[in-house]
Amino acid sequence: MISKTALFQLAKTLDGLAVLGCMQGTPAALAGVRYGDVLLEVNGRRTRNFGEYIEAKALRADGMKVVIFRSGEERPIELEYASQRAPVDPATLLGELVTMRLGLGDPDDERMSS
Amino acid sequence: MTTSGQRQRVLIVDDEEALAWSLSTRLAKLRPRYEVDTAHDGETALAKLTANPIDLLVADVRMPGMSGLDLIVAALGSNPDLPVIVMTAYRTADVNRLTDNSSIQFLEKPFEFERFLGLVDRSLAHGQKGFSGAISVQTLPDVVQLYVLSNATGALTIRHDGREGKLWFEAGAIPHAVTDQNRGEEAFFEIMLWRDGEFSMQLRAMPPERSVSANWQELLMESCRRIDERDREESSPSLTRKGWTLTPPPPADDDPFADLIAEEPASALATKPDDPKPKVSKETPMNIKDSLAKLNTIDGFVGAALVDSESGMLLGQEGGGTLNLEVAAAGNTEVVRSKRKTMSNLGLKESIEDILITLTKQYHLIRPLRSRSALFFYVALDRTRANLAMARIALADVEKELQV
Repeated sequence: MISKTALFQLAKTLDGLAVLGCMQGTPAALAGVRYGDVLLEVNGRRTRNFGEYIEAKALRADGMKVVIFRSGEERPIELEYASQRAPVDPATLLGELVTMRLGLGDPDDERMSS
Repeated sequence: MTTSGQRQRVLIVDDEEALAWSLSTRLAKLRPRYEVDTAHDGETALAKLTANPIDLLVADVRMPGMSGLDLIVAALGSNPDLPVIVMTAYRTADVNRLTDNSSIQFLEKPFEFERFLGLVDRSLAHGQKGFSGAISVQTLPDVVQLYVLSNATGALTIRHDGREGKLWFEAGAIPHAVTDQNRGEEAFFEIMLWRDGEFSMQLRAMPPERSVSANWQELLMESCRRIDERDREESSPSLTRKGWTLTPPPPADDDPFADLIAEEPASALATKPDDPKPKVSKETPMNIKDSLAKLNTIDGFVGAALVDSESGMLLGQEGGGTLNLEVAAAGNTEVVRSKRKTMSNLGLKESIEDILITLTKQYHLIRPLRSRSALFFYVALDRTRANLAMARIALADVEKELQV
């Protein structure tokens, strides 16, 4: 498992976004996206920062085509959003993020759930 | 028929025409004893109040051309006792300097119409000295923090639900606190648990005695703990309470009153601030990088991530720090659960701007992007170094600038 520091370095080198984790049961988790991946493209556009991600995501409403970097190679992955999606409750989401214990503890030896 | 000499004249100045219109029509309707006029820029306002003296000036700070501050200075030049209400989203140094003037009051945007009405009534009724504000947008600890950080000296009177409390500030310290039931630190904590109400500040008022020995960080930390505890224990929240959600200052170039106007069913200008359908966007704002860099400069910044609840990805970027969430204590999920329950009971789901969770060593803030309902900013702050009020403002700034 790549350390978080190394992940951020990798993401910086590749000019992409570090995937810190996926919430359970979401399209990305089901498609196998996981901690340690570096997100390079969304919907055919480079995602070098949050702003570009937000823009690229806005190109499609039903899902997104992402390109991630893992184990030395680029992988295209198609994500389809759930058709029936309840509005997200920020408090629930925050609770989930906290209880997921994403990256808790020392950044160099923690495991991420995926 | 009454003449303008008998009716009190109120001039509302805001370049946001919809807001000025909304405030003036509602004020005129509810208070026929006031004669309400509007202007949308400083020059017009100055011409109006010169031609026909007014009893109260309500002005926005940021306007094209002559700024609200220039207008106020000019208006006070001809009538030093003119009561003034300043509407602003940010307390800048200029605004702070103005509030040294005793006839100027201060209304933090966004505000609820009732607060505005109360402030107008009071300025015209008593010519009250000091300045007042509506705290629907912030928790009291935030307000206290702002006064402390501005090294204010004075007495802050807080009214809530028929109760009254007073806090004294002295060059950035809090030497004295009192309520009807308590004094000293207990009074401070009692006040901090109040969820909404009004406050007014009497600048330069000195404390009559000293009852508080703890420093302000300790006081606020303990207050946060008690607030969390209160939220955890609460099972049947009152429906009239309004202060729980936190609304950071709105962007200056946005309509900060979209919510206020939208709440008024009669208004033809009602707009929904959120468009649920993602739009195709072609341009990247120039300042995205700068705005994200702001996150790093927040005191106590630990890390930030972007959460896409639609795809499910939690993303970090270079410069965003390595987000290290500490071990969630067993009670924390309960806190979130009870907060959620409170919110759903209050029907507040739509108005949530940001949510804070207090862990032993960190604050975690989550904030939905207004323009993209599925996206959230997630920021962790070191509790010992964080300034929550500033962090919220910085996060709101970043969010604003990321709206594409």
